[in-house]
Amino acid sequence: MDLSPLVPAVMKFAAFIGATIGAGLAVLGVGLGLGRIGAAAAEGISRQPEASGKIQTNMLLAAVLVEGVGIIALVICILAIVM
Amino acid sequence: MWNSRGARAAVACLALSLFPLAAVHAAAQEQQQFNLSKVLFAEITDSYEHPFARIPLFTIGTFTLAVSITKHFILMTAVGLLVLASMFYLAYKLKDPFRTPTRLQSLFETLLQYMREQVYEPVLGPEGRRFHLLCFTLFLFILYGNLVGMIPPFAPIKPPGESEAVWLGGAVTGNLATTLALGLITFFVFNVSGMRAKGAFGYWRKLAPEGTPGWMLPFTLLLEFVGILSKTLALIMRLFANMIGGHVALLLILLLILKFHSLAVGPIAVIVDLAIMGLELFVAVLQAYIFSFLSALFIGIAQRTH
Repeated sequence: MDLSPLVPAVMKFAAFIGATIGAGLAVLGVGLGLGRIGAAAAEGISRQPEASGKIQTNMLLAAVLVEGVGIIALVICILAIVM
Repeated sequence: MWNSRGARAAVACLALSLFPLAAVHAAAQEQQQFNLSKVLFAEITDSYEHPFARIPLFTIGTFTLAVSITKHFILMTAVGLLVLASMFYLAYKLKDPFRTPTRLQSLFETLLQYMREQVYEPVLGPEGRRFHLLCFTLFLFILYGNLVGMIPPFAPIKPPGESEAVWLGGAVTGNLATTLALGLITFFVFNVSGMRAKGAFGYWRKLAPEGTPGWMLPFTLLLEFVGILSKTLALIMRLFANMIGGHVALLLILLLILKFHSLAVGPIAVIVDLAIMGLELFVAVLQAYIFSFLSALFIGIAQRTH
Protein backbone atom coordinates (compact mmCIF):
# COMPACT_ATOMS: atom_id res chain seq x y z
CA MET A 1 0.00 0.00 0.00
CA ASP A 2 1.63 3.21 -1.15
CA LEU A 3 0.80 6.00 1.27
CA SER A 4 3.14 8.65 -0.16
CA PRO A 5 0.47 10.62 -2.12
CA LEU A 6 -1.27 11.21 1.21
CA VAL A 7 1.77 12.84 2.83
CA PRO A 8 1.13 16.47 1.77
CA ALA A 9 -2.50 16.27 2.89
CA VAL A 10 -1.52 14.71 6.22
CA MET A 11 1.09 17.39 6.77
CA LYS A 12 -1.43 20.14 6.05
CA PHE A 13 -3.91 18.47 8.39
CA ALA A 14 -1.31 18.15 11.16
CA ALA A 15 -0.24 21.75 10.66
CA PHE A 16 -3.82 22.94 11.06
CA ILE A 17 -4.38 20.93 14.22
CA GLY A 18 -1.07 22.00 15.75
CA ALA A 19 -1.62 25.65 14.91
CA THR A 20 -5.13 25.85 16.31
CA ILE A 21 -4.27 24.00 19.52
CA GLY A 22 -1.21 26.22 19.90
CA ALA A 23 -3.26 29.37 19.39
CA GLY A 24 -5.77 28.22 21.98
CA LEU A 25 -3.05 27.51 24.53
CA ALA A 26 -1.41 30.87 23.86
CA VAL A 27 -4.68 32.70 24.44
CA LEU A 28 -5.19 30.67 27.61
CA GLY A 29 -1.86 31.83 29.01
CA VAL A 30 -2.45 35.45 28.03
CA GLY A 31 -5.92 35.44 29.55
CA LEU A 32 -4.67 34.12 32.88
CA GLY A 33 -1.79 36.57 32.97
CA LEU A 34 -3.86 39.62 32.12
CA GLY A 35 -6.52 38.62 34.62
CA ARG A 36 -3.99 38.53 37.41
CA ILE A 37 -2.55 41.88 36.35
CA GLY A 38 -5.98 43.48 36.33
CA ALA A 39 -6.88 41.99 39.70
CA ALA A 40 -3.67 43.25 41.32
CA ALA A 41 -4.17 46.71 39.81
CA ALA A 42 -7.78 46.91 40.98
CA GLU A 43 -6.79 45.88 44.50
CA GLY A 44 -4.00 48.43 44.56
CA ILE A 45 -6.33 51.21 43.45
CA SER A 46 -8.91 50.18 46.03
CA ARG A 47 -6.33 50.35 48.80
CA GLN A 48 -4.95 53.74 47.79
CA PRO A 49 -7.13 55.68 45.36
CA GLU A 50 -4.75 58.62 45.09
CA ALA A 51 -2.07 56.40 43.51
CA SER A 52 -4.45 55.28 40.78
CA GLY A 53 -2.56 57.12 38.01
CA LYS A 54 0.72 55.36 38.68
CA ILE A 55 -0.98 52.01 39.19
CA GLN A 56 -2.80 52.37 35.89
CA THR A 57 0.42 53.19 34.04
CA ASN A 58 2.20 50.18 35.46
CA MET A 59 -0.77 47.94 34.77
CA LEU A 60 -0.79 48.98 31.11
CA LEU A 61 2.94 48.39 30.83
CA ALA A 62 2.73 44.87 32.28
CA ALA A 63 -0.32 44.11 30.14
CA VAL A 64 1.48 45.07 26.95
CA LEU A 65 4.47 42.88 27.82
CA VAL A 66 2.31 39.83 28.55
CA GLU A 67 0.18 40.45 25.46
CA GLY A 68 3.32 40.76 23.32
CA VAL A 69 4.42 37.25 24.20
CA GLY A 70 0.97 35.88 23.36
CA ILE A 71 0.89 37.64 20.03
CA ILE A 72 4.34 36.29 19.15
CA ALA A 73 2.96 32.77 19.71
CA LEU A 74 -0.04 33.58 17.52
CA VAL A 75 2.19 34.76 14.69
CA ILE A 76 4.05 31.46 14.88
CA CYS A 77 0.70 29.64 14.60
CA ILE A 78 -0.22 31.69 11.53
CA LEU A 79 3.18 30.81 10.10
CA ALA A 80 2.49 27.11 10.69
CA ILE A 81 -0.79 27.29 8.80
CA VAL A 82 0.55 29.28 5.91
CA MET A 83 3.76 27.35 5.38
CA MET B 1 -30.53 68.05 15.68
CA TRP B 2 -27.82 67.85 13.08
CA ASN B 3 -25.28 70.24 14.49
CA SER B 4 -22.16 70.71 12.41
CA ARG B 5 -19.80 68.67 14.62
CA GLY B 6 -22.09 65.66 14.70
CA ALA B 7 -22.68 65.85 10.96
CA ARG B 8 -18.94 66.06 10.26
CA ALA B 9 -18.22 63.08 12.52
CA ALA B 10 -20.94 61.03 10.86
CA VAL B 11 -19.68 61.83 7.37
CA ALA B 12 -16.11 60.98 8.44
CA CYS B 13 -17.18 57.60 9.84
CA LEU B 14 -19.14 56.81 6.68
CA ALA B 15 -16.21 57.77 4.46
CA LEU B 16 -13.77 55.73 6.53
CA SER B 17 -15.98 52.69 6.35
CA LEU B 18 -16.11 52.89 2.57
CA PHE B 19 -12.35 52.74 2.02
CA PRO B 20 -11.93 49.03 2.84
CA LEU B 21 -14.88 48.28 0.58
CA ALA B 22 -13.11 50.06 -2.26
CA ALA B 23 -10.08 47.82 -1.83
CA VAL B 24 -12.23 44.70 -1.76
CA HIS B 25 -14.24 45.80 -4.80
CA ALA B 26 -11.13 46.45 -6.83
CA ALA B 27 -9.74 43.06 -5.84
CA ALA B 28 -12.97 41.42 -6.89
CA GLN B 29 -12.66 42.90 -10.35
CA GLU B 30 -10.01 40.31 -11.24
CA GLN B 31 -11.64 37.39 -12.92
CA GLN B 32 -9.17 34.74 -11.92
CA GLN B 33 -9.68 32.22 -9.17
CA PHE B 34 -9.56 33.93 -5.78
CA ASN B 35 -6.61 32.74 -3.73
CA LEU B 36 -6.98 34.02 -0.19
CA SER B 37 -3.44 33.57 1.02
CA LYS B 38 -2.02 35.19 -2.11
CA VAL B 39 -4.10 38.34 -1.66
CA LEU B 40 -3.33 38.40 2.06
CA PHE B 41 0.38 38.09 1.50
CA ALA B 42 0.39 40.71 -1.24
CA GLU B 43 -1.29 43.15 1.11
CA ILE B 44 0.92 42.60 4.13
CA THR B 45 4.41 41.79 2.93
CA ASP B 46 6.77 43.95 0.98
CA SER B 47 6.49 43.89 -2.80
CA TYR B 48 10.03 42.63 -3.26
CA GLU B 49 9.30 40.78 -6.49
CA HIS B 50 7.76 43.81 -8.16
CA PRO B 51 9.89 46.77 -7.21
CA PHE B 52 9.29 50.24 -8.54
CA ALA B 53 12.94 50.60 -9.51
CA ARG B 54 16.19 48.78 -9.03
CA ILE B 55 19.34 50.79 -8.48
CA PRO B 56 22.32 48.43 -8.80
CA LEU B 57 25.16 49.20 -6.44
CA PHE B 58 27.89 46.76 -7.33
CA THR B 59 28.32 43.39 -8.97
CA ILE B 60 30.53 40.52 -7.82
CA GLY B 61 30.49 37.79 -10.47
CA THR B 62 26.86 36.85 -10.86
CA PHE B 63 25.73 38.43 -7.59
CA THR B 64 24.37 41.96 -7.91
CA LEU B 65 23.64 44.05 -4.87
CA ALA B 66 20.85 46.44 -5.79
CA VAL B 67 18.63 48.80 -3.89
CA SER B 68 15.09 47.97 -4.91
CA ILE B 69 12.57 50.71 -4.34
CA THR B 70 9.65 48.71 -3.04
CA LYS B 71 6.40 49.59 -1.34
CA HIS B 72 7.88 49.62 2.14
CA PHE B 73 10.84 51.68 0.97
CA ILE B 74 8.51 54.45 -0.21
CA LEU B 75 6.39 54.27 2.93
CA MET B 76 9.45 54.31 5.18
CA THR B 77 10.82 57.38 3.40
CA ALA B 78 7.47 59.11 3.85
CA VAL B 79 7.43 58.22 7.56
CA GLY B 80 10.98 59.48 8.03
CA LEU B 81 10.16 62.75 6.29
CA LEU B 82 7.09 63.11 8.51
CA VAL B 83 9.21 62.69 11.63
CA LEU B 84 11.64 65.34 10.41
CA ALA B 85 8.84 67.67 9.36
CA SER B 86 7.02 67.45 12.67
CA MET B 87 10.13 68.20 14.68
CA PHE B 88 11.15 71.05 12.36
CA TYR B 89 7.65 72.46 12.78
CA LEU B 90 7.99 72.31 16.56
CA ALA B 91 11.42 73.96 16.47
CA TYR B 92 10.13 76.72 14.17
CA LYS B 93 7.22 77.41 16.48
CA LEU B 94 9.50 77.46 19.51
CA LYS B 95 11.68 80.20 18.08
CA ASP B 96 9.14 82.68 19.43
CA PRO B 97 8.04 81.10 22.70
CA PHE B 98 5.71 83.86 23.71
CA ARG B 99 3.19 83.41 20.93
CA THR B 100 0.05 81.48 21.79
CA PRO B 101 0.81 77.87 20.87
CA THR B 102 -1.26 76.26 18.18
CA ARG B 103 -3.01 72.97 18.85
CA LEU B 104 -0.52 70.87 16.90
CA GLN B 105 2.38 72.58 18.60
CA SER B 106 0.99 71.99 22.06
CA LEU B 107 0.31 68.37 21.14
CA PHE B 108 3.96 67.84 20.27
CA GLU B 109 5.11 69.79 23.31
CA THR B 110 2.93 67.76 25.66
CA LEU B 111 4.11 64.53 24.08
CA LEU B 112 7.78 65.46 24.35
CA GLN B 113 7.45 66.71 27.91
CA TYR B 114 5.49 63.67 29.02
CA MET B 115 7.97 61.23 27.51
CA ARG B 116 10.88 63.14 28.98
CA GLU B 117 9.61 63.55 32.53
CA GLN B 118 7.57 60.43 33.10
CA VAL B 119 9.33 57.86 30.97
CA TYR B 120 12.95 58.71 30.21
CA GLU B 121 14.06 60.63 33.32
CA PRO B 122 13.12 57.93 35.85
CA VAL B 123 14.86 55.16 33.95
CA LEU B 124 17.85 56.93 32.43
CA GLY B 125 18.72 59.24 35.27
CA PRO B 126 20.31 62.67 35.04
CA GLU B 127 23.49 61.44 33.36
CA GLY B 128 21.53 59.70 30.61
CA ARG B 129 20.22 62.88 29.01
CA ARG B 130 22.04 62.20 25.76
CA PHE B 131 19.86 59.15 25.14
CA HIS B 132 16.59 61.07 25.23
CA LEU B 133 17.02 61.99 21.57
CA LEU B 134 17.47 58.40 20.40
CA CYS B 135 14.54 57.09 22.37
CA PHE B 136 12.20 59.85 21.27
CA THR B 137 13.24 59.40 17.65
CA LEU B 138 12.46 55.70 17.92
CA PHE B 139 9.11 56.58 19.47
CA LEU B 140 8.15 59.03 16.72
CA PHE B 141 9.32 56.77 13.90
CA ILE B 142 7.41 53.76 15.19
CA LEU B 143 4.35 55.84 16.01
CA TYR B 144 4.16 57.40 12.56
CA GLY B 145 5.00 54.08 10.91
CA ASN B 146 2.18 52.32 12.72
CA LEU B 147 -0.33 55.08 12.07
CA VAL B 148 0.54 55.39 8.36
CA GLY B 149 0.07 51.64 8.15
CA MET B 150 -3.50 52.06 9.34
CA ILE B 151 -4.40 54.07 6.24
CA PRO B 152 -6.01 51.64 3.79
CA PRO B 153 -4.53 51.52 0.29
CA PHE B 154 -6.75 53.40 -2.11
CA ALA B 155 -5.87 51.89 -5.46
CA PRO B 156 -3.28 49.57 -6.93
CA ILE B 157 -0.34 51.23 -8.57
CA LYS B 158 1.40 49.50 -11.43
CA PRO B 159 5.17 49.82 -11.17
CA PRO B 160 6.74 50.67 -14.54
CA GLY B 161 7.91 47.55 -16.30
CA GLU B 162 6.25 45.12 -13.92
CA SER B 163 3.30 42.87 -14.52
CA GLU B 164 1.38 43.03 -11.26
CA ALA B 165 -0.04 46.03 -9.51
CA VAL B 166 1.04 46.91 -6.02
CA TRP B 167 -1.16 48.19 -3.21
CA LEU B 168 0.59 51.02 -1.40
CA GLY B 169 -0.59 49.94 2.03
CA GLY B 170 0.47 47.87 4.99
CA ALA B 171 2.56 48.98 7.90
CA VAL B 172 6.25 49.74 7.61
CA THR B 173 6.78 48.22 11.03
CA GLY B 174 4.96 45.08 9.90
CA ASN B 175 8.11 44.17 8.03
CA LEU B 176 10.45 41.96 10.03
CA ALA B 177 13.46 43.67 8.47
CA THR B 178 12.38 47.09 9.78
CA THR B 179 11.80 45.93 13.33
CA LEU B 180 15.01 43.90 13.21
CA ALA B 181 16.91 47.06 12.28
CA LEU B 182 15.26 49.05 15.08
CA GLY B 183 15.98 46.31 17.59
CA LEU B 184 19.59 46.08 16.47
CA ILE B 185 19.97 49.84 16.94
CA THR B 186 18.80 49.46 20.53
CA PHE B 187 21.02 46.40 21.04
CA PHE B 188 24.15 48.16 19.84
CA VAL B 189 23.41 51.38 21.70
CA PHE B 190 22.86 49.78 25.03
CA ASN B 191 25.79 47.40 24.78
CA VAL B 192 28.24 50.00 23.51
CA SER B 193 27.10 52.59 26.04
CA GLY B 194 27.43 50.01 28.81
CA MET B 195 30.93 49.14 27.65
CA ARG B 196 31.86 52.82 27.55
CA ALA B 197 30.49 53.41 31.04
CA LYS B 198 31.95 50.37 32.73
CA GLY B 199 34.92 49.35 30.61
CA ALA B 200 35.00 46.90 27.74
CA PHE B 201 35.40 43.76 29.85
CA GLY B 202 34.01 45.22 33.05
CA TYR B 203 30.58 45.53 31.46
CA TRP B 204 30.39 41.84 30.65
CA ARG B 205 31.83 40.85 34.01
CA LYS B 206 29.44 43.09 35.92
CA LEU B 207 26.44 41.44 34.31
CA ALA B 208 26.59 38.97 37.16
CA PRO B 209 25.65 40.55 40.49
CA GLU B 210 28.19 41.30 43.19
CA GLY B 211 28.15 38.33 45.50
CA THR B 212 28.11 35.37 43.12
CA PRO B 213 30.58 32.63 44.07
CA GLY B 214 33.32 31.85 41.55
CA TRP B 215 31.94 28.51 40.43
CA MET B 216 28.59 30.05 39.51
CA LEU B 217 30.09 32.88 37.48
CA PRO B 218 30.11 31.21 34.03
CA PHE B 219 26.50 30.06 34.36
CA THR B 220 25.30 33.43 35.55
CA LEU B 221 27.15 35.23 32.78
CA LEU B 222 25.77 32.83 30.18
CA LEU B 223 22.26 33.31 31.52
CA GLU B 224 22.61 37.08 31.51
CA PHE B 225 23.96 37.08 27.96
CA VAL B 226 21.11 34.90 26.75
CA GLY B 227 18.80 37.25 28.65
CA ILE B 228 20.15 40.23 26.71
CA LEU B 229 19.64 38.41 23.41
CA SER B 230 16.16 37.27 24.30
CA LYS B 231 15.11 40.72 25.51
CA THR B 232 16.22 42.21 22.20
CA LEU B 233 14.49 39.44 20.26
CA ALA B 234 11.29 39.98 22.24
CA LEU B 235 11.48 43.70 21.50
CA ILE B 236 11.79 43.01 17.78
CA MET B 237 9.11 40.34 17.61
CA ARG B 238 6.62 42.19 19.80
CA LEU B 239 6.38 45.17 17.48
CA PHE B 240 6.33 43.01 14.35
CA ALA B 241 3.74 40.57 15.69
CA ASN B 242 1.40 43.29 16.95
CA MET B 243 1.34 45.08 13.61
CA ILE B 244 1.06 41.91 11.52
CA GLY B 245 -1.62 40.46 13.78
CA GLY B 246 -3.75 43.56 13.49
CA HIS B 247 -3.50 43.72 9.71
CA VAL B 248 -4.14 40.00 9.29
CA ALA B 249 -7.26 40.23 11.44
CA LEU B 250 -8.57 43.21 9.48
CA LEU B 251 -7.89 41.65 6.08
CA LEU B 252 -9.23 38.21 6.93
CA ILE B 253 -12.59 39.61 7.94
CA LEU B 254 -12.77 41.67 4.76
CA LEU B 255 -11.65 38.83 2.54
CA LEU B 256 -14.52 36.75 3.90
CA ILE B 257 -16.70 38.86 1.60
CA LEU B 258 -14.84 37.54 -1.40
CA LYS B 259 -14.72 34.02 -0.05
CA PHE B 260 -18.47 33.81 0.32
CA HIS B 261 -19.11 35.57 -3.00
CA SER B 262 -21.97 37.54 -1.49
CA LEU B 263 -22.46 41.19 -0.67
CA ALA B 264 -24.63 40.47 2.36
CA VAL B 265 -21.51 39.83 4.43
CA GLY B 266 -20.36 43.33 3.55
CA PRO B 267 -21.96 45.55 6.23
CA ILE B 268 -21.26 43.07 9.03
CA ALA B 269 -17.63 42.75 7.99
CA VAL B 270 -17.14 46.50 7.78
CA ILE B 271 -18.70 47.12 11.20
CA VAL B 272 -16.59 44.42 12.83
CA ASP B 273 -13.58 45.87 11.07
CA LEU B 274 -14.31 49.32 12.45
CA ALA B 275 -14.19 47.92 15.95
CA ILE B 276 -10.93 46.09 15.26
CA MET B 277 -9.53 49.25 13.67
CA GLY B 278 -10.20 51.17 16.88
CA LEU B 279 -8.27 48.54 18.84
CA GLU B 280 -5.49 48.69 16.27
CA LEU B 281 -5.11 52.45 16.62
CA PHE B 282 -4.75 52.05 20.37
CA VAL B 283 -2.25 49.23 19.90
CA ALA B 284 -0.25 51.34 17.41
CA VAL B 285 0.33 54.14 19.91
CA LEU B 286 0.92 51.74 22.78
CA GLN B 287 3.50 49.64 20.92
CA ALA B 288 5.49 52.74 19.98
CA TYR B 289 5.47 53.83 23.62
CA ILE B 290 6.51 50.37 24.82
CA PHE B 291 9.38 50.08 22.32
CA SER B 292 10.91 53.40 23.25
CA PHE B 293 10.32 52.86 26.97
CA LEU B 294 12.00 49.44 26.89
CA SER B 295 14.92 50.86 24.87
CA ALA B 296 15.40 53.55 27.50
CA LEU B 297 15.08 50.93 30.25
CA PHE B 298 17.74 48.68 28.73
CA ILE B 299 20.11 51.63 28.25
CA GLY B 300 19.51 52.70 31.84
CA ILE B 301 20.17 49.19 33.13
CA ALA B 302 23.38 48.96 31.12
CA GLN B 303 24.62 52.29 32.44
CA ARG B 304 23.90 51.79 36.10
CA THR B 305 26.00 49.87 38.56
CA HIS B 306 23.71 47.57 40.45
